[in-house]
Amino acid sequence: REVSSNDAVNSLPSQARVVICGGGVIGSSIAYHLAERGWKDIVLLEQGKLTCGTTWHAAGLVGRLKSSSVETNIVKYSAALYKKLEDEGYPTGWKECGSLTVARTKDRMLSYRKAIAKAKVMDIEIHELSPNEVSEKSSLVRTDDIVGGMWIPGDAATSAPDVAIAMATAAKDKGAKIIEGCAVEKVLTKNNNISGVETNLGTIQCEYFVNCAGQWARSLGKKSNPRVRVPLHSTEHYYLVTKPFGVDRMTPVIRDHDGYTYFREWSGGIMAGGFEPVAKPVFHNGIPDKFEFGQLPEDWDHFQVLLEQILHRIPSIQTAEIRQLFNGPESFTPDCKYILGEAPEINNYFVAAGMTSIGIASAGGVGRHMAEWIIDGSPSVDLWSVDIRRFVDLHNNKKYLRDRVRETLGASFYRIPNLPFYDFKTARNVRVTPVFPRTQAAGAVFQEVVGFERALYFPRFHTHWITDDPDQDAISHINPPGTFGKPAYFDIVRSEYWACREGVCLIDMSSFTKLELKSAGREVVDFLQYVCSNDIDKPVGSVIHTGMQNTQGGYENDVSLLRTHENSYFLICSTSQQTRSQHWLRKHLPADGSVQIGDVTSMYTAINVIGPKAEELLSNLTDTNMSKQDFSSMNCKIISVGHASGIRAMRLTHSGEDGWILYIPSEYALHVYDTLMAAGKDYGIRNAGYFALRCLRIEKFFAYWGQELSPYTTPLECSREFRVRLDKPDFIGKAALEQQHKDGITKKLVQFLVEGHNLDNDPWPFQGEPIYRNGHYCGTVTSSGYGYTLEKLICLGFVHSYNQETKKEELITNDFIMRDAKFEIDIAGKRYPLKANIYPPTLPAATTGNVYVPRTSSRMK
Amino acid sequence: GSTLSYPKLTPQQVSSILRNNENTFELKRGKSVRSFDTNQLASNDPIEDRRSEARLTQTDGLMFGVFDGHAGCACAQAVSERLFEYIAVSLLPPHLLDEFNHALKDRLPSVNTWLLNWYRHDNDYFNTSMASLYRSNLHRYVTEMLSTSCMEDDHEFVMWDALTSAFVRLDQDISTEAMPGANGLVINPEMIDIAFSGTVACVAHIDGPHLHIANSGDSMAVLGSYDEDQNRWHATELSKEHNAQNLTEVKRIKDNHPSSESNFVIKNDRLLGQLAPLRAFGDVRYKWQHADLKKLTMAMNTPYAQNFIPPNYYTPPYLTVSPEIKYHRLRSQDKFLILATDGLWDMLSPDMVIRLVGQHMTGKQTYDPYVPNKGVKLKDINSVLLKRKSGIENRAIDKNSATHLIRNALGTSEFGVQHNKLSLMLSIPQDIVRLYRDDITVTVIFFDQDFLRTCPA
Repeated sequence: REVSSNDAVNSLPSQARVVICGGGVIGSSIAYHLAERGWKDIVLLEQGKLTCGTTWHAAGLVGRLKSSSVETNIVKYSAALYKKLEDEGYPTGWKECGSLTVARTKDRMLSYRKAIAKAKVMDIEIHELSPNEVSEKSSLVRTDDIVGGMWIPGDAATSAPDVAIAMATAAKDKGAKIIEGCAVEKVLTKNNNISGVETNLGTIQCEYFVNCAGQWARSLGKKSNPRVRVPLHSTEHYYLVTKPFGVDRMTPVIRDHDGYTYFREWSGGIMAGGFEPVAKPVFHNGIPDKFEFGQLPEDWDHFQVLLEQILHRIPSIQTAEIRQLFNGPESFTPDCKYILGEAPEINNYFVAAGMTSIGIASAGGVGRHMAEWIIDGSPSVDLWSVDIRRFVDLHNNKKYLRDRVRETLGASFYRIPNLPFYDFKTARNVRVTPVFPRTQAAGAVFQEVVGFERALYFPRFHTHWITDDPDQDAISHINPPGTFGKPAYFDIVRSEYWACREGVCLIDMSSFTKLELKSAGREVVDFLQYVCSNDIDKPVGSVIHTGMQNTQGGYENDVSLLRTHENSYFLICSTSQQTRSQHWLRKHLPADGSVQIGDVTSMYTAINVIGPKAEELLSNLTDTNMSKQDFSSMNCKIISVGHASGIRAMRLTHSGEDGWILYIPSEYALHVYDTLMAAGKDYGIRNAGYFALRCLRIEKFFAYWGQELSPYTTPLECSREFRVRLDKPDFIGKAALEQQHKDGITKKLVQFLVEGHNLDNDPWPFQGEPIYRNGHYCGTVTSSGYGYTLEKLICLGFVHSYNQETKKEELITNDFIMRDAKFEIDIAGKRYPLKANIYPPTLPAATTGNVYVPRTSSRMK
Repeated sequence: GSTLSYPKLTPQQVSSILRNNENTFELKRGKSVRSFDTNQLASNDPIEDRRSEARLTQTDGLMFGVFDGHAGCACAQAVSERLFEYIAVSLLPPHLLDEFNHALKDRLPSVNTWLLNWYRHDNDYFNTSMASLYRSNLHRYVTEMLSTSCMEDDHEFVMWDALTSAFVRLDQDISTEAMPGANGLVINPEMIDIAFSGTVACVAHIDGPHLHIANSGDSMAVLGSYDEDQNRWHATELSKEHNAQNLTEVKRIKDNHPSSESNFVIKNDRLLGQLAPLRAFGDVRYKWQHADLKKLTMAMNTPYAQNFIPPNYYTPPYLTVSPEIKYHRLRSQDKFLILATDGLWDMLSPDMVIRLVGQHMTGKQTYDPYVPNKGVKLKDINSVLLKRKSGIENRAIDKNSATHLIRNALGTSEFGVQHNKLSLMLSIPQDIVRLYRDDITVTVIFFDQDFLRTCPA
């Protein structure tokens, strides 16, 4: 197929406001949306011809139900846009044939029910189907082995290149320039800002640059100084097209996730493709020159695993003849999510790549949000899960990428969405802490977080589900495969939880991001006062919890700040913030270079000594007085433990329990760990993992960054006003928070206890479940866990008040939550009553040697 | 020596040593042989094994040979260069023999390729200094054959006789060339080297479905067949090793000499207590008359002249080159033939060798991408792909099956092929390496199934 815009301009202007590199569907959409928002001087550069990279061979499916609501919202917008463009005379090949999805297992069906519950509040029409109803929708589908399915009437198939050309043409009609045959050779910067682009056709000055070069994006990222990290790797991706055999044109798009395959009608035959469990990476040593409208040699042997499933699901294909087996490259990312946003390395350098084979479906929404990001400084919705700043250098390692994308291609489709704690198996054990050999030997089950191996829990015995069973390749090994209910580690976590509340435990917290900030004079204090919303000008040795707000008052970060010296601070924030936190700080640093930031994450090992017996245990091992009188909470002292000195001990645990986090210079970490373990024997010391910590914090109603705290939520909405000092001089977000303080809030974080839920038989909430107030949708779950003291499932979530007519948010008060309100949660189609809390519940404190506290709740079963 | 606790060689070094002499030839379609793999690994320095492969230009057959030399490589080198020519002329019908005679006489430049097209490895060489002597002796053989065939009107070709006469005639020529007096008592040291060293030979001649093996000595030819019904590989030995373990062979030798000698003729599993193979080219010390040997000893002044004549040397010749010949008509279940010197058979059994190559072959087939034929149904494509799956699992790291065999011969331990063991076997000091492994030469000849299935009787 020869696809091209007929009247491309071929002379390069000397200047533009924004230069977009990549003439695929993403670049076209970004140009269109920037033009739509009224921007002029938009120049799109394409090294070959429009759509010649990977867009031209895409299957063109627009299925709105994706594995997360971020992606679902993006595709939902795309669908509406392509339909609209078609109506406006920009043909996109829009064919609203609906989509039919089948489930082979109960777990798969349950995941659909969860998705249906979520889609309902996103205004997407979805129907659950019985196997018979699936047959009625399409007689092609084999149904004797399925448990059910879904019918999504508004889903569609398009012609992929037409979608791109439609947006490119519309963009051109609004004044954007499109230049084909123009390859970017160098991206120019000045003072870490974009200044221009060097191409084979000359140099163009610009203020903004967008890298949407698809599978070329990673190598384009290397063409600037500093280099920009775009972690993606190409893989082979297959579909076959049969000769016609009387397939109806309006046959729905069919998806069989358990069989990794999808189908659409194609010229009276079927196009069938898929996402095999083990993919074949390609172009490890670079993409060949002039790979325009290029395809890869077909490897039938590799395709067989898909062919088997294709012939199974649509038996009539068995006797069909092949028209073409197509093998085209697609690029995938380490976590199978897009890469969007402003690159942390260069200001005004934007990236939109790594579409993980859903580029056509996503392009509309991605283009819209990228335009917002460029014009408004941030997108209109929270895109953290797909933000380019979630990566660190490790992710851009080519061999890491090659090994990981083998798995992510299949996982993108086969993996059961909404399955709690999914984890990848490939490219693991890359980033480990000094105590990893000990925790590993203790049998920890690990989860990878930003490359770090983090212990989740410690089974006493090697449990059956922690195996290398190849049949469970794409499924989490953290939990028994396919469970949405009570996790198998429930009792293990319970014992760790109680050990934290009554005894003493060690939790390795080393993955947390650690930064040092300093200056010669007071500059660092002034700087931090400006970027933090709490008062950070506290005596040396104090630890301050503070948010860092954006101009809307939302959270860019939530940190613990230790003042180590008059003019230096030690900053701790979540693991996932390693890149983003520095990006935010550097953006606001004084231009004179007076404040320095250093990333010391790898220099310190952090061990959380948690529990009421921590004080007595540590007292045995150090000369420092650890008593509450001498060492109160939220303070830090430099102590020695055993033979190791220079340890920063902070009296806080991020869980509401008593204890210390020890920041140990890494060379002493193993000694300290072993010393604590040996001395702790009589205190019943043991390892604990993140699941115990998670249950502790959710029960105590602690909000965490990335779950509850986001750029779109403010301290006032999370009952964290006490950490905001509106009376201090100007800081980022102050005006917005003052305004909100005056006007009131439209959403509030609430803790819910789930009632009437059978722990053993009912599916558990995890994240994203809709919450209803008096029958009306009011918000979704941000995180959930089990409260072992309250003996209830607990969910955190924001409650909004949506006007039933205008669908707009209205102001809410505590009364809206606490009075005349009946809350319910929808878990996979079934509703359960919720009990709301706006303040942390009082939990009975555990006994500490000399203090008597009566117990009010029975804890043991 | 000290035991190595770490591998001395890297995996890349191991592979490059193992692959240094490997060679693969894909042949034109429509013949019984589709391709062949060869490889050699030296233990002696220089290696004493030789191998040859050639196509017979006039009769369209193929010849493959492995030659395991001893007491140096001179004889093996000479036989590897000359034997195929002797066989080739033995196969020529009178009118072509005559034509060749003229070509030789007129010294036509095309004479070099008139008989044979060689398949060569870059490391192979010809002994150019002897070429004209070799040529003139071949010419004499040709003229003698022409005169014999002219005398016998009803001459009927017998493959057995042709192969045997080629072997025997070449051995005679080697012997005569070294005889003192043949050149007016001028002793050519190269000729002496050739005749006083020796070599065994195992040669396969393949034309269409007709396979002949001519074997003299302790190399071996084994046929690999696949039994579809039982889903099993089967090894058929197409030659017998001529050594002291072969009782028929021992009996043959004892019967050829007075019973008084029976205690000496095979002693310590060796001929006259000295020579391991019981048939061989060269080795004139076990063939010449006592007097001839004596004469040469006097004419020469070599350090090894002292022990020139073996002990108990009463009724020579004790040694013959006359080959044992076996015919096999190839069937469609016959997948490949392996010729190898005893360096391989010392380490791997024929069954094991056939299994290894069988697996390798199913793996190798999948190196070629599958391309479905036009008009084929998708379900049929799927069943072909399912069959290929097991082959893909068997893909070996060496594409060359001979290399695959040598790697397995050297590296197999109870945990499969181990790098540590390979490294150890390939880094043994030269002065003791021969205690651990012999020179290894392997040729694997793959048959064309389509040809064998449809070829006429």
